[in-house]
Amino acid sequence: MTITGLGIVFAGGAGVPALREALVSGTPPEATTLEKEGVQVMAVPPAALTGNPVLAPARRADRFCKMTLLAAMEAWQGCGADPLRTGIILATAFGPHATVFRFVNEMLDFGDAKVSPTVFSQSVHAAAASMIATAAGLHGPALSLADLAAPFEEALALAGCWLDSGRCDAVLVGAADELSDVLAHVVRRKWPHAFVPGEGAVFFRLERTGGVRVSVGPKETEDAACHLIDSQALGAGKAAPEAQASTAVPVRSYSPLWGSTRLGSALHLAAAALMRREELPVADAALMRGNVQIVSACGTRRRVITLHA
Amino acid sequence: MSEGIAITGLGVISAAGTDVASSLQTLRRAARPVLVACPVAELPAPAPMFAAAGQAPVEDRTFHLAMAAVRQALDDAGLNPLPNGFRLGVCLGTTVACQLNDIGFYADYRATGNPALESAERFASGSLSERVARAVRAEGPVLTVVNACSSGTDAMGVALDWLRADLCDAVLAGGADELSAIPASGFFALSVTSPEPCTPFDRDRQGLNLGEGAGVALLERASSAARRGRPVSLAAAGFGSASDGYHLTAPHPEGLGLELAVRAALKDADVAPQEIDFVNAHGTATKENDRIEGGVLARVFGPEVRVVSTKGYTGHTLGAAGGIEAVFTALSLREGWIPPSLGFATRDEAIPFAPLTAVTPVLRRYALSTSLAFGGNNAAFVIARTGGAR
Repeated sequence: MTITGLGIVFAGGAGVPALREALVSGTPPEATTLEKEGVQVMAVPPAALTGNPVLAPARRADRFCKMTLLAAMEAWQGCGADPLRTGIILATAFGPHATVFRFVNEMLDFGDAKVSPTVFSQSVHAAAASMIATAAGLHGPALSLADLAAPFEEALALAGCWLDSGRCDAVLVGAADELSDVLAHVVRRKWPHAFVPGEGAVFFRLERTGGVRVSVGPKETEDAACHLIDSQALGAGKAAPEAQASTAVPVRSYSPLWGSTRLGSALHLAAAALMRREELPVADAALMRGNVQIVSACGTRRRVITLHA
Repeated sequence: MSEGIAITGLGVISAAGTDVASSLQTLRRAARPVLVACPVAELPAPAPMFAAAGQAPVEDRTFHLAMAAVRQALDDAGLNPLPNGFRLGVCLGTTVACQLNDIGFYADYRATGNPALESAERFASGSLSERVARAVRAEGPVLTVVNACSSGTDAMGVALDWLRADLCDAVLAGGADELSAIPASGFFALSVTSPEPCTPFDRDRQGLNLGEGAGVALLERASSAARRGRPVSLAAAGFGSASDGYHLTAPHPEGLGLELAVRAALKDADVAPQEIDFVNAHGTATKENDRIEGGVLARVFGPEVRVVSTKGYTGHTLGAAGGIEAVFTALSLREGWIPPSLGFATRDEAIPFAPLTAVTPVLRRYALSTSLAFGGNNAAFVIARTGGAR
């Protein structure tokens, strides 16, 4: 499978130009403070989620849906594939949990019977993929998945199955997670020495040919020119892959550009794909011309995404 | 042509029974399980629900329900313990277990800003499929489907994809969900719950009853089953899914996505509509679902289509529904009879058929299980009988 489209929303802003700028400058976006928790976070700036006409059908949607829709529509633009044969796979760790808590707020404040059906609908994990399908007029398969270990890697592998089997001609595959006071609170107490939490959404349009080849496997290969690791994976603890990465291969990480999340492998794939496509004036440009492997591990589970030379 | 995928193990728990044997008894006798008053939310009108039979713990209930079905499926498949080097994947669907939705935790957070972290710790310890994979020492791919009410059926599709791609030897596929205050309140707010026991496809149906449980099938590459010397009487023949691309909560008025999913599943299984013996429909007993689903099934299979909804035995178990109904469909093919659609009394002229109302013999090899979901996801799973019925 090959990457033929890319879309992103992160602390640096919405869109590939924002990622390009962050990679070229090498400067992390400014952290903000979550008022209630007093915790520094790398949140998507509010301006990135307003004013974009792509968001018109999502004007009442929650933040999770808006981030996801923006990234997916950017990756989808210019796609000539049959809408009946274009699939969607969205991976997340925590889903639209801020909306779930908004719904629980209503239950606590007004009683179980006086809650908003709209908020309930948006609290469902599948709402974001539904919004993408509706906005883009897609009728292929749509799957949302939620795991903590390697959700994006499993999504990418499944997209490969859909393309290889002929079920789809194009797949929008992505990952998204949002920040909230509750998440920041749990992070602060459970991982007191954690890095600054981040959020965002990143999507890839995958087709059989026409772009940069990508694959997913269980381990690194010897022909890698570079390993990318998520050095700030949320909650990874001792299983952080830098401890296991081969010393013979240069190791790089761009995690400071988007903060600590469970989306690291997807965001690193976006960075590598962009550096490959545009040969950006960055120090690592030469490394990105070879096989780039994005290594992630959580517990005993290990996955390697390869962006092939 | 890829090799066939066998179904070598089944496990189920719901209001209809704690295992395959007790569930079959309930279905054969057309016995309505006792419904309980909504145990999880305070609602101003009756909203009876189907609690799972047996004594599953209240705490961490979805995981325990899932494990009950998983253990049955592994035992049934002769995979307890797993052989060395066996590549087992886990793909389960859920709606409740994917959310950090402990209301006590959140209420405490709001009130004190310093809640006990047990539920958050448990949530952070892994998704439903990840925890099940750890519990059974599965080392293949792991994925938790969160496609709302089609999650369990979609999990069957993912399992088929993995097995055909030779990513593993077998997959525990299905779904699990517990009764929870959030969907109870949400579905009540959407005005789709019934104050009476549900009556799928009936003219006077008033809506759904929520339920809980788990249904898991062990899907296995035919070559793996043969290597282990396991007799195979059932196969996962085909899968299809499609999006309505229409609305977050309302199904497409013509059932576009469902029809695409059903036709894709038939094509995947290389089966003509007339080869399908019966359809275990989503059949939630809401006005819209049953009318639209009925229209699609009649369009694809003709008005003589034989349809059952087993929601009258289990309630709508959300992320578990596709798993439980796939297991019931497989059992029907294996046992050679289709259970009655419980609760149906009066034909709805807006639906081109009446569901089966008596125990009915299976006449053909194939059956279909369908699911529709919030967000316009639609999924269809074709199961085949490969040997004679019992």
